Amino acid sequence: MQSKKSDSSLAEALDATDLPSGAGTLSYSNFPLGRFRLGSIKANLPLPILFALLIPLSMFVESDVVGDYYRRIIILAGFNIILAVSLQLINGFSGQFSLGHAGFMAVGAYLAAYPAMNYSQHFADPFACLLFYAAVAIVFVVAGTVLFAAFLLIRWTRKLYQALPMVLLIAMLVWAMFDFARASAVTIGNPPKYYIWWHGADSLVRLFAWVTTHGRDAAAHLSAALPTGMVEPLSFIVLVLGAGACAGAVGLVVGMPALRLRGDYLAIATLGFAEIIKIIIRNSEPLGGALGLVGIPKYTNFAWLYGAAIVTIIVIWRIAYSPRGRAIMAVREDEIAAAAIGIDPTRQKVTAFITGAFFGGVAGAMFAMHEHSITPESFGMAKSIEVVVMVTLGGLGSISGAILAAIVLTILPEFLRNLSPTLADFRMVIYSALLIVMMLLRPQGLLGGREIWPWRRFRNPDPVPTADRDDYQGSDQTKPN
Amino acid sequence: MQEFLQQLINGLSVGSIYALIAVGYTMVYGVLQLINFAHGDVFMVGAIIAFFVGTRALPITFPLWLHVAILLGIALGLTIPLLLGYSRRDVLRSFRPFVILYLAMIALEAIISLFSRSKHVSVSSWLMAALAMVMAVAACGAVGYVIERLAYRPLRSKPRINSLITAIGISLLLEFGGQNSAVFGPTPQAFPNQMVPGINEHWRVLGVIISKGDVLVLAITLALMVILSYIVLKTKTGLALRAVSLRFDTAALMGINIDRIISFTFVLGSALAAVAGVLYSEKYPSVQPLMGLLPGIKAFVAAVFGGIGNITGAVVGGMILGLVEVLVVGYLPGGSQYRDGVAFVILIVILLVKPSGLFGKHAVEKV
Amino acid sequence: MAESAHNLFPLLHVDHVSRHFGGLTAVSDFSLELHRRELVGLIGPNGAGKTTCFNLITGIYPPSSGHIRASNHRIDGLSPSAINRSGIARTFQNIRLFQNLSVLDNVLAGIRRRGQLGLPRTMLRTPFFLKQRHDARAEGMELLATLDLAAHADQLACNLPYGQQRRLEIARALATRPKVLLLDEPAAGMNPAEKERLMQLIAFIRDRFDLGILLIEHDMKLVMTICQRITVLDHGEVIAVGAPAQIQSDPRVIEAYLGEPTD
Repeated sequence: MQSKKSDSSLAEALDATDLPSGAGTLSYSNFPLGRFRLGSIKANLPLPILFALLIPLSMFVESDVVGDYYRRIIILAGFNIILAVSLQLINGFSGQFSLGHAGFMAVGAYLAAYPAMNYSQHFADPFACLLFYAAVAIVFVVAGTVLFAAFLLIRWTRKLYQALPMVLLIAMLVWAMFDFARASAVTIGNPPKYYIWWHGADSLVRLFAWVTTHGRDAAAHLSAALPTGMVEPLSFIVLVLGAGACAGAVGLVVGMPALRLRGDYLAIATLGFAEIIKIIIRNSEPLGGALGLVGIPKYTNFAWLYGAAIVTIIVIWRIAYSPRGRAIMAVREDEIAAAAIGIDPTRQKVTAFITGAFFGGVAGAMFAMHEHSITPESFGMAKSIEVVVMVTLGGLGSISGAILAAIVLTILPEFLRNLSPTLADFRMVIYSALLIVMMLLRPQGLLGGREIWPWRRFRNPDPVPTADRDDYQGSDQTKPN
Repeated sequence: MQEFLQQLINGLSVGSIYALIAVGYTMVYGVLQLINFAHGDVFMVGAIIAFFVGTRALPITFPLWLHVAILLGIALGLTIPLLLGYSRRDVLRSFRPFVILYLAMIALEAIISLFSRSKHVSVSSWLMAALAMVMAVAACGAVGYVIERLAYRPLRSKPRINSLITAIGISLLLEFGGQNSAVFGPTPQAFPNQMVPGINEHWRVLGVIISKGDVLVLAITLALMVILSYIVLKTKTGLALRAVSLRFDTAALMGINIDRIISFTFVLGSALAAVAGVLYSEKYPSVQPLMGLLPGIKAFVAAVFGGIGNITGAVVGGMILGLVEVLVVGYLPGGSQYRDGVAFVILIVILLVKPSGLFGKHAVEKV
Repeated sequence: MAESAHNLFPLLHVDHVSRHFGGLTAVSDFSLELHRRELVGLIGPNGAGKTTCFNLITGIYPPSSGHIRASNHRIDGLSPSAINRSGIARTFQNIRLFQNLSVLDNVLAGIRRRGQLGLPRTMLRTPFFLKQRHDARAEGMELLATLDLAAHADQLACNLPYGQQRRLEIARALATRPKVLLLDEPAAGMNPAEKERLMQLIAFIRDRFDLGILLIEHDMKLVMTICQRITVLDHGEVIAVGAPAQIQSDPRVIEAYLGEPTD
């Protein structure tokens, strides 16, 4: 083997290359942590500043200088920003085309509105709200365990016959549908005896009621022990975070089966899930049915929304631009290659889904506690599409793009409305036409997938657009240069 | 038992309508891997055009603003590339179809509206029904062609999500355009479903009440499916279509004019959607600009259920969906509330169990 | 000549592995052993099942029968990411880079640092987080320098010329600190000069990073030159194993590539 001779010459050649300072020659793992303390402070410096801005900004917005009309637009923009940034994590960074974001928003809205109306005593009882979410969590875990065990059991039957699990699962689903439908038709005085699914659901409801009734008093005591100033904000925070967590749990349920689907299938599946959520809400009496919930106590104002938006942006930014974010983007680019370097695609995709769903739920919760009433229709396909348009218009993979697009697309319809009375009729037509033109002329979005900050990254030239068609993936085409 | 058979026929006729729309979705997906969100709205356009014909409201010419818009579009489309330096011959050649289309539509519409306004042609006559159908098919074919040319073709080399967003934009454009009072208005209007004489009567066969309308729907669908399968399986164009849907780039290398095949696919799919629109309005005679949303989604679910990209699958999927829907409404207590949910449940089940659909092949990615 | 440091267990031990796809037998009774600092070649005519073997080893699909061990731990049936974490890395026949990420990001994606980087540290950008980021970048740059890609660290992977893309794939695989490296046709599409450099690079990597390398290649000159041992596959079966000289004169191998001599 002639490697020895060429070995040394190659090694010499490589030794002569200019290595970046601090690499290889220095034992970099010996750098003390303290060297990075300054950097950490610099990174976190914007935070207190941004939060400090909250006070003058909210005073400005609440003042009479800004009228009611503009205030409403600003708040609407705030909701859209949170929605767009959270969806950017799912659609942009994780590359999963989700058309069902309104579903998460709906879950967050309803599971914040309901306890706000029935548990919080007008934001006076944060622990009761906590109790509500604890009960929801318990029910979720119990139901999940039972269903998961059933699922595992059914999968075990694969040993008997390959297709048996599928058949059994479908049979189970159909049985459940019929069971519920028959149970709903049962008249009073005629107790259902054989409806297993109905009994199962009923016992879950009983469990929920048991937990909530038994904890109510303890919760009230604890809440009474809190200093008065804290009670309202704490209730609000519990409601928002709890609703977000519920939306995250739904994200888990939606995300897991959706993982195996690619591209367009995933879009339709998420759309379907969102519609199913809507149908479930529309058909459940405690959540108001088709008429929705009316009389939700109002608490969201600009200050809270601003704070939530800042937190959302920071959290998602810091996830996206970190090793975890890089792993998520790697999975987006090429799942198989990512797996080959030790990244678990399922885990990354589910994480992105759950996080995005969480913040979608947060937006929904704050939305519910801003509007006097909510109906299932306000969380339909139109809303999902609105958010997807914002994310794509801003550029997939760009957080600042999503923010920018959210603001622009909130203002645009209003701007068109005010432009001229005759044009007002056409405003939605113009809006959709603009959308089409935008996609044709600048398909990579406003910011082209780059961020406004840091500036130097922004000034890099546009990447050569890569074709996305599956036929071209992995072909041995030689590159143009 | 009789009731069951009645439900069966009812379900099959609803299913046929879904099948007609689903075929359009599946063909476009087969060649372009694109979910054409605007397809449901093409369905709506067909229904509305038929509405105009049937209510004799079709004007001699298009509304003025549409004329201006089309002429402006053609003028801009001709002058801007010329200014940018493209050769005159190229520009004229690429815009020839549009100009021809425009002239043909004016001619066709003039002829038909003269007929429909004529006192000698009664509203309730086969002639009128045929006129409505022809006009709807022509209009939708044109709309399909224009959409593909202007909105999808430029984005063919870009990531798919851009085409999806554009499709959504076109869908919104058609919906909001329809809701504009200059065009149709947001309120639903009654479709003249007496166009085919005697269509609302029924036969009694062995105690089973069979609606003539349903039979007509089934007959038309069957005929169209036969014609479609002939086109796809026995003609050269059909062969080219199948080739393009299998391997896009190789088909181009084999000398197939990709652009023409794709346009053909869109026109064909839109034509079928137009027929579906007219038949649907015959059955549920209320038209409004948003009527395409729900049937569109359900038809797409049917296409996915049957295996997207597979025409047989789309038809079978549509039929099954229609049947299940009607049976759920008929036999499940409180079922009418869940009617729209059926499609989504089927969707979730098929995506969980066999994402490639009933007839689809699971494309394994080669590592 | 570098000594093969024989550990108690081979780095990779493929034990009578078979794989069926429905009725088709892609691989049958495939066995292989790989030790440290060994460079083993896997050759055979097209469709012989070489990439299938790679896919079996890296867990893309499980073997229908047989075991695979890495340093005496069973790895068949594990997920690809778990297998990578136990020390096996690979490159792909058709380049699978993260096209829209930069060159450095491609490599950084594979770098796993010791020390937990949980959510709080990521959120708050603690000094520990920044240190890990700095160290990872340094390690990544060093790796790029080793493969002569340092100058392109900030370019998008899709903009690199072909030869550099292949090297980037190798760099990314090396970033995961493997003990075994599987290279699937790394020289495909290269001109002779590039192939020469690649040969030197592969041998260099083997020694510098103390790896066992398994190589699929069609270029016979390359394979015969740098491999210590060669396994020949045909129609999914091993037809010959041995040193390059033996393989070159083995009649079965000649028949598999060239067919039976017609007289």
